[in-house]
Amino acid sequence: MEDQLSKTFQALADPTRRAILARLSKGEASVKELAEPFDLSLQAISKHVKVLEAAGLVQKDKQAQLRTSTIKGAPLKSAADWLLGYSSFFEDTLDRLDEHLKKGS
Amino acid sequence: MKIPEKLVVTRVFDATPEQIWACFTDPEKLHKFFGPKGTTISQEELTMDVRVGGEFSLKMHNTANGEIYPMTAEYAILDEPNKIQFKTTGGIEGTIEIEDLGMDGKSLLTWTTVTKFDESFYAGAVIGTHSAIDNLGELLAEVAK
Repeated sequence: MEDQLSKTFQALADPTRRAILARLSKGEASVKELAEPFDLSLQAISKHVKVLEAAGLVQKDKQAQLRTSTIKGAPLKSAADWLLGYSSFFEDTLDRLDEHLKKGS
Repeated sequence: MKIPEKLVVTRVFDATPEQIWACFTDPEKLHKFFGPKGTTISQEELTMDVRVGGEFSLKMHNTANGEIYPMTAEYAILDEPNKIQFKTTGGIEGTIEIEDLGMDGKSLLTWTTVTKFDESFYAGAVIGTHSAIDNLGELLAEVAK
C-alpha cells in the first residue's frame, strides 16, 4: 500500500504537519516563519517539512538563501477525491438499495 | 496510535428486515445496488458463500474510467434477518444491523464500519471522513487561490 495516497495520509497524520501545510497554502515560507506559531525548535519544524517533502506535498524552493517551501496541490487533490469517493460508498449503496426495494423485487 | 475508528451510517427503509436481508445475501439482488453510483458489479465476479467463514468477494467497475475496485471479505456473523458482519482482507470490519421498527413494515438499517489500520490518520481519514474532507477542502480552497 506504499502508493502516493498512503504517503499523503501518513504525512497528514500529524497535526503539526497539517498546520504547516495550512500555513504554506497561504504562500511560501521559511522554516523560521513556519516555526513561529509553534512551541517547537527549528530542527523539529525542519524535520516535519522534510516528511512533507518526502511525501511530495511540499517543494523546497531552489532560490538558495531564502530556503522557503511551497505547497504542492496535486497529491492533496487526489487524497480529497479518494475520501469523497469513500464516504459516498455507503450513502450510494443505501440509496441504490432503497431504489431496488421500491422496484419491489 | 492504534485506535479502531468507526463510521456509522443509518437509514430507514420501507421494507421488512427479511426483504433487506435478502438484498444483502442474494447475489442476484446484491450486485444491483452494492457500491458507489457509477460502478457496476458483474455476477461472474461476485462470490457469496453465505455462511460463517464463507467468502464474500466482488469487483466494482467504475464505468466512467474503467478502474476496478476489488473487495474480498469473509462472513463473520450471519444472524438472519438482523445482522451480517464481514471482515475484509484489508482490515475493515463491516456490520449491517437490521431492526424492525414495528410500524408499517419499516426497518432501521445501521451499517457500522471499523478499520484497524496502524496509521492513525489513515484510519481517521477513512472513517472520520467528514472532518477530514472539511480540513482538506479548506486546504484545497486555499491552494486553488
